[in-house]
Amino acid sequence: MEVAATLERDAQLMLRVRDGDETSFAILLERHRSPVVHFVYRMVGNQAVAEELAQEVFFRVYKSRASYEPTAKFTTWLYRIASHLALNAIRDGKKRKYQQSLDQERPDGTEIQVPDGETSVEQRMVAQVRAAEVRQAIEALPDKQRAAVLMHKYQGLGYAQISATLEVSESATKSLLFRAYETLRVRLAHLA
Amino acid sequence: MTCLRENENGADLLIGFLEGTLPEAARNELVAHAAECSECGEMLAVQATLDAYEAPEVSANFDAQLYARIGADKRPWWQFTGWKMAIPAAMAAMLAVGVWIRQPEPVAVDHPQDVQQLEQALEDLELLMPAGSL
Ligand SMILES: [Zn+2]
Repeated sequence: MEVAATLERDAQLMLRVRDGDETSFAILLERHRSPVVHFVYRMVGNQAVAEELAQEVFFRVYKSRASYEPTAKFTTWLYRIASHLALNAIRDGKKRKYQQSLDQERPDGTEIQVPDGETSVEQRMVAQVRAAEVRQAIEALPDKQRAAVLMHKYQGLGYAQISATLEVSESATKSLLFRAYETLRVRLAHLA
Repeated sequence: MTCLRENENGADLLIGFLEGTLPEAARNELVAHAAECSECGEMLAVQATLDAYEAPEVSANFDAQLYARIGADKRPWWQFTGWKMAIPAAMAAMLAVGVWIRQPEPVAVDHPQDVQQLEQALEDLELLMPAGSL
């Protein structure tokens, strides 16, 4: 079982899902649920839409289990589906419908999350304002730059994997990332 | 040149730094340069600012909704089509079976003749075989 031994854990689990093991699907879901929802959330800027799209991601993973082949890393496949769906949703204008008043208030009633540890009300408010500025700066990025920088910054994917996920060359991916970080630097430098 | 902006390999340098693949000497050089250069200083500092952007918790019913969808997809077709569709389909099927049952039987097989032919064949075979071999 040399091949199985060198396969990453996710790919092994997915092969078991392919063979009909539902528990392995539950484990994969547990491992990737939050990261995928968070990624799509930062892509589309709305929690309800993000969860709807993330459900579609996992539904497609399950549905295509029979034809799964571990040719790429599991997360490359997973984030390819996720970024494809998110980019399509943005293009379809689904986002705009939910986002009309986003600059003023959260349309879905959720507060912007800030890291724990801030105790005073004032500190919490400052942290929320900062987080809102970061969110707006990220949402202002061109779609592919945003997808690339989100995977790089928050999902821990390297540029080579992002290149495979977005199906663009490695040098183009580096360029996407650099331009995104440069734009974010200009917009957010005053917060540092 | 260590400056990210003035270096044609600035993207490689920054990505290597962020992914932790930059050799230690180059890493130290960039950190030292960032202390002097405001743009590069900002570039490294903004990484911590980006960390402040957390995403909300996933809804508690996320899995339940997903499994409901998967379950619905697995359900056989007649549970989707419902009775409005199923009744005409069932009636059509019953009608087809009825027609088939009422089909006139083909010309009756002459069973006695078949049996006679078989017995004759066996007798012929016995004649051909050496005695006692059958
Ligand atoms: Zn510099």
